[in-house]
Amino acid sequence: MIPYQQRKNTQKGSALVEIAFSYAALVLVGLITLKATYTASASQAWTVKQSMTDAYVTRETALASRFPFDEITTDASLWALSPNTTQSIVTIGKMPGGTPVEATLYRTRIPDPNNLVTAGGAGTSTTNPGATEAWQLQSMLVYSVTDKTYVKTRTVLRIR
Amino acid sequence: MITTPIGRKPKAFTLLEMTIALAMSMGIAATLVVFLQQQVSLAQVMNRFTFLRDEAPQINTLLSTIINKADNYRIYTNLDSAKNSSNPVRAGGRALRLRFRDPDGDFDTAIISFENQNGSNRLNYYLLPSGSTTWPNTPSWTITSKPQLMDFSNPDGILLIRITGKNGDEITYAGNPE
Repeated sequence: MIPYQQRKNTQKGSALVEIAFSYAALVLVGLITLKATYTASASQAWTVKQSMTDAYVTRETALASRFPFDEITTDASLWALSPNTTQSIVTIGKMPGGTPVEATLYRTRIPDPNNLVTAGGAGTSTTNPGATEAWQLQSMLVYSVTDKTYVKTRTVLRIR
Repeated sequence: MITTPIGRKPKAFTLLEMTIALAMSMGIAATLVVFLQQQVSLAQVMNRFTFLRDEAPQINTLLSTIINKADNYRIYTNLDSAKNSSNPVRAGGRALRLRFRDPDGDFDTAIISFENQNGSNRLNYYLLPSGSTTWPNTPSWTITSKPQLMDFSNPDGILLIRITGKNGDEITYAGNPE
């Protein structure tokens, strides 16, 4: 049998341990809540940046579809002749608070293999008697969300 | 009178015990306050993204549906200019005038105008049916009252619609008639 005085001391010690566990549990809950806040914020940013980049590549598709054909194939074209690319930093939107969201836009144009040699292909008057000219206009948008990098690409086929 | 049996300590807390208990209680209370602040911050974060996450895509869907049915469009700096078809611009537009071809060959005309009405910013839709010559003074309907600013422009052949929310958040959509 444990003497009275000794039993009382043991109870005091256990109370301290219980309090320590309680604080540890509180700190753990706090850390989990903090992590949840960060995760929620990151997922919101991810969703919003998807919308922004979707909107931007839609704009690229519209531009590639409507740009004058003669200007597509010049040296000063917005779409450099593959394997070269034109590169530019673009602002695709602003986050709450007004912080700009930037992405890197790459553009390139790829000739159809059956284009005539003068149009970047290997076709001849036999394989391409109509001198048809086709180009793939490819736009790649590279952007980051937190520590991950994503790429969205759109390709438009222009023929004349 | 309360008496304590001989050999037993009194059933009460000492000043030191009370101080420790109070200090611990305050610590727990402070921790709970921090938790509450975290929850408030989380709610604020979620709320700040609402415009870009929910409102702007819905506005874009509505505008795309309307604009895709139009034969052509012109951009104007305000509603009056759009009504009068005077001084179209390519940047800084607040009104978009659209023309729709009817099945019988006539044309309906509509204006999507961002304006301050009754103290709030609204994106309004005005319709001038074929055969009518006078624009209505009140909009047919209000598309949205959420954006702080809407800007129509056409810098390179593509209609751009820049939508700005109340937190300075901004997104640009491209929309063209068929």
